[in-house]
Amino acid sequence: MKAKYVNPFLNATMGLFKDFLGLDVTPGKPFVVDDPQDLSDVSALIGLAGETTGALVLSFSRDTALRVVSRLSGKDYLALGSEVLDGVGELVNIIAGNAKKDLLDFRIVISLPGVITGNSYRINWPRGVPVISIPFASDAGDFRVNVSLKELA
Amino acid sequence: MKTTRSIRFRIVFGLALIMVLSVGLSIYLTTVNQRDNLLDASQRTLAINNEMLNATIRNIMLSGEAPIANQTIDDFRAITGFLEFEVYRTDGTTAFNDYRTLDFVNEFQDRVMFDPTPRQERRILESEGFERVLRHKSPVIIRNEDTREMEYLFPILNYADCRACHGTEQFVRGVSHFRISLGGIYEQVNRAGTLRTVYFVSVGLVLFAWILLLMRRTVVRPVLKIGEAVNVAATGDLDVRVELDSDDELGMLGDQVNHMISGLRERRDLELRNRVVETRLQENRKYLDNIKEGLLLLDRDRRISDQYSVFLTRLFHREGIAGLTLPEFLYPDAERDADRRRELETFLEMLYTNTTAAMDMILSINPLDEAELSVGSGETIVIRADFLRIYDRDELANVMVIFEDLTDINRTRHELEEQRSRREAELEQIATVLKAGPQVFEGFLDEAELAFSELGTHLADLGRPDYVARAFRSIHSVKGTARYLDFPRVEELCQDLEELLAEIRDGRRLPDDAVESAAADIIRRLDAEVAAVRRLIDRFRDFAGGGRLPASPLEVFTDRLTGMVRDIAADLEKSVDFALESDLADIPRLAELQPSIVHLIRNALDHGIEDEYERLAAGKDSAARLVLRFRKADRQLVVEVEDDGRGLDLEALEKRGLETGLLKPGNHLPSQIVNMLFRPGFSARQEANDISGRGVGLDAVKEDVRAMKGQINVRTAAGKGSAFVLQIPLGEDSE
Amino acid sequence: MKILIVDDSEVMRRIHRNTLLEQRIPEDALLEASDGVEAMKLAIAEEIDLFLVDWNMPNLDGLSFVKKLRDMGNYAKTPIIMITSEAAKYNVVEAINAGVTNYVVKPIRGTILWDKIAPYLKDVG
Repeated sequence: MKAKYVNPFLNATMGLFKDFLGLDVTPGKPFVVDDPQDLSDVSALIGLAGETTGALVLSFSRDTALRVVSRLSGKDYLALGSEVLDGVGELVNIIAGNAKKDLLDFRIVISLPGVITGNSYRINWPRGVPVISIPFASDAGDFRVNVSLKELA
Repeated sequence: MKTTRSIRFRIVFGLALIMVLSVGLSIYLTTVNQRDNLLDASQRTLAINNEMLNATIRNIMLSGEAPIANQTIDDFRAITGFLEFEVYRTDGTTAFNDYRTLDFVNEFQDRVMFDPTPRQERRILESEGFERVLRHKSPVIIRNEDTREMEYLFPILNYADCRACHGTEQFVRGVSHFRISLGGIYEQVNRAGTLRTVYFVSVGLVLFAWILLLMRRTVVRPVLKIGEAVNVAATGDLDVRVELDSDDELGMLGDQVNHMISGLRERRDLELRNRVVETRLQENRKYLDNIKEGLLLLDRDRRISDQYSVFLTRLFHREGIAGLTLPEFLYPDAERDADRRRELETFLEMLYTNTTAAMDMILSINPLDEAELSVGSGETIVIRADFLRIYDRDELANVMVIFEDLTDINRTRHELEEQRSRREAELEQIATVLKAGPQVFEGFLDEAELAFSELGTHLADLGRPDYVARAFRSIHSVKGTARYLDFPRVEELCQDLEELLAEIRDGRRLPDDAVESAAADIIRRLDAEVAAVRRLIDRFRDFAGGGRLPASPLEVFTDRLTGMVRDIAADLEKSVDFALESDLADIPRLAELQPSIVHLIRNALDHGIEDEYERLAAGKDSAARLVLRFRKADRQLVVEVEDDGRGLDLEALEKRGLETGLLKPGNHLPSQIVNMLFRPGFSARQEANDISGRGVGLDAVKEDVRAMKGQINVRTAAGKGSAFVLQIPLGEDSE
Repeated sequence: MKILIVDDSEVMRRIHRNTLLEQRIPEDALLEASDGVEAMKLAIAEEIDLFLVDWNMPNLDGLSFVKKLRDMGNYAKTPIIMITSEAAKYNVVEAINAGVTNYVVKPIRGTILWDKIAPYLKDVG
């Protein structure tokens, strides 16, 4: 797992929040998570394959998700309905699309993001690599980006 | 005009002539014919008359009574028309003028048949015709035109009935002679002639007029019309038309003439248009020759037309580009630029064939938006090409390509950027100096001044390879320090000098006078820069009031290193904690060791230490730990640069050594592999980056350490980190 | 005038809708479809003057939808705007070849979307 693969997504996330949502975000120090399957209320998954393989998960608390999507669509959402999940998916889609630009030099394929709620979904992290979490703080609430990538030997 | 008159005149004249001739001839012929016919008829009548006369006379003569005969003859003479009527004897004398015949007859008959009666007057006819009659014994007609008389002479033959009295001797007894006037006939003929003449003339006139009219209508007028039209056309007015309604040959001729004229008109219009086009082309040419833009036009089959601006040829240092395709023009080297050609071709394909996408969508993938091209003599230019579709009615006719030369703009932009960053750097420098105090820089300035003056005085030694290598290393070190102390101009100049030394070292250039003077020039400039920095420092020293205690060399060095590590780590996007551990407050021979220590630290940052995520993935802290340690052991100074990074990957290094030939085939001990690192020509990465430097490998460190009579060792564990250990002897050998 | 918005995300459809409403497009002019199949049905049933199509969609993805649309004679020249989060060159080339008229990249500002579609709305009135 190298910074050159991870940073594009982090930059895209910050860019999206700042430019699109008008929210200030500050990244925190990355650390290794104890329980890789521990997710917040709403999570969006981006899969990567190629010279590095693994996944990136953006995880939001319910409130953060609602606030973010409300801000995005201009409508106030009060419940985690399909529309909100849609919105989260869209956001992550944009993040993935923008990150792609910085990954053109590498042979990597990005999968369509999927959105899940709760903890019941089991993420297929690559074996032998820990999952690192980068926390973010924003005006709409905190969220994190969990990432685990394994390079081909 | 003369022509038309002539034709008309000729026709009229000719027709009149013909008419006159034919009428005249007709009149004449008919007149003569009639007269002759009349005369002949008259003659015939006369002959019949004569026969009657003859018969009468004969019969009278038979009776023998001359007076009766004379009377009869007199009566005949009285008839109108008879000018003369006489009977003559064969001797030419008039009959009954004497008694000869009477006497003869009486004698012949032997009796008196006839009593003497009064005699006629004796006349003698002298006429040529008389002789002829007597000769030929047949009638003779003499027509006298002058007197308009006709004479008829016929022989009186001695018929059988007559012979009884006149005997058989004479064949011809006499000649009967008529003379009649034909005047009446002539008059009649003339009279008829006048009528006829009038008749013929009027018929002639009518015919004349009619033929004339007909000719005029069917021939002359059309011909004149055609002629007039042609004349008008000849003067230049090609809008004239022949208006003929007839559908005969002249009508067709008129149509042909019209065709011809309209053909001429078309040609004239074409020529006019051509001239206009020519003028416009020339104007275009003038425009193209003068505008300050690179402009070219691609035609329908995507080739460059001959409409391109002179500026373009100057920009690309190429002439005669008409007929080439755009990729051929911009990328003449088909092999090297195959990809770029293909990209441009795809783009052009879209420009030409796509009809759905908006222009700005197509232009968003314009491959010539700030593209670098090599032109002519190996120069590189930066251009932006704009594309414009040009339509002719609804079809795409051309694509105009407008080139903007951005080379200067780019350069200017870069320069501005550089100036800006230089200014920013200067500000930062000032801030740093204010913060850290001038001492930090003084060490650098000392080192730099030393290096420059050393090299400056030993330029002649550039012929020695070992000296060149050393000079290179010292300048490289100064450059590095200048870099993290943010002296970009010093760094740049050092870079130039470094490159020059590298060329000499690698044998690409010979250390001749030109090289020496180039090096001297750079050194001069470096001295100037350093002097400027010194002045800056002095000023701030005054400003700062010199409040701080002069720091120890080690402190200064450590400060410097901390800053350097921070900057480099940020550049490499790595998280590094740097620490100094030292038993000693003062490090002997520190100045000599500095370049090596700096190099080892840089090495560790570049190759040894991983980024945050790699470290976390490996179960380490995200921030790497880099330690510089000074220890004293026996009579030695031990310097360690230790990191908790990747450590040396001996397998990979062995492989690389085998590949590059630095290691002979076979198995190797770790120590052998590690030793390879210190060989000149070894570089841990394919691309040498600026931080480690090209050609400045660990061999330089080894040399420096050896020069100090020391040793260098490496401690490493894969995945855990490495430590480079220098052991320098202390004592009277130190220098 | 009829504008068909094709996007699998309800949120995005809402955003586009709002943008268009803000620009005084009457509400009854806007039609929505959540995937290519649904969009196709609407395209056949109605006379659409402008399409806004998302690139990534389930069932019938944006590009295939565009190709199918262009094959239909009556929609050969109708303006189709792609909305996509990818703006790499090869994507644009693909889109151009499929018959897309223009494109906007997510995240999109309202003004940008409007600028891209305004010229075509002018023709329709």
